[in-house]
Amino acid sequence: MAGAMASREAVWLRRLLIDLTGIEEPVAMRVDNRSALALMHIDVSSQPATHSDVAFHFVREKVAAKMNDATYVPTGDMVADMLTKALPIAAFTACREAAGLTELTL
Amino acid sequence: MGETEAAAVSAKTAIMTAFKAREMGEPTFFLGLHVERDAASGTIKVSQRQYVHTLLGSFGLGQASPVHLPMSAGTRLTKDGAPLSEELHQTYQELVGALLYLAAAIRFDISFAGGQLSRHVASPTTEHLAAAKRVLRYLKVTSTLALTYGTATGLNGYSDADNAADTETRRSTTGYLFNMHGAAISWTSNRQAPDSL
Repeated sequence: MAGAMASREAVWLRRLLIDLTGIEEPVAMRVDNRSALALMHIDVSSQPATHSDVAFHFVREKVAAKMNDATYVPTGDMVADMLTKALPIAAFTACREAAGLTELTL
Repeated sequence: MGETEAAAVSAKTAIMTAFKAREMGEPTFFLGLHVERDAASGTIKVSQRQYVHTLLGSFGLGQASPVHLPMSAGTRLTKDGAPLSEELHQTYQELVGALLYLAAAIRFDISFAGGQLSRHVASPTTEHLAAAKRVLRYLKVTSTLALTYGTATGLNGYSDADNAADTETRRSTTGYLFNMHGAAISWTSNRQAPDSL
């Protein structure tokens, strides 16, 4: 589900980028849930999971079309962690810096 | 003059004849955002320190003691608690609105806290107000944080969910963030609509 929301955003960011720069490449997507990642890469025609819906298919379609490049990242390096839970100080600061929010030096 | 530059100049002339406009040079303060551009190192820094200072003043927290986390680790806000007076209820709503504005503009670090607080604007308790003021105390120490865009290239996305950690609704919070040129360009912290299994 999270993947579906992020994929929607990725699709439009990618299109915007193509419009602005003309560079056409897959958007790198980092996921820290191995089973979710496995589902994204699965071949739809031989899909074992019965619990699936349109959102899942959307993500798979984008990955299969090489528009999104979904790869695994360990939870320790998951920058979006700070958007889903109240993290301890070390992890919080690391995420904040990884996303480019740093002390202003004038 | 190169072709691109000539095109830029003619576009500018066209805009300036069609609309009332004047040329102001490099932007430094634009739509509430401070913009610092460093041509030598090729970076652009965007901050909102002015807004944070105004906010601290208007909520009377200019002297409050600083904290280094917007929400203490593992905090879960629940519906239980002593409800706020009508006046404080309004204060709470104004404060959450201001925090969400910051979170939407450049401060993704308070996106999660703001999202959690906004779930309780209908019936906030004293605990929620304290949590909201805590975010302000965090902003006080971090008002000079700036999104720093540099020369690094590539678009990188991160997507995560908390697997139905909200015990009251059994719903998940989703977060994603996209980095480009070394800093975030798009993010969200959102409660998913349906029950996740």
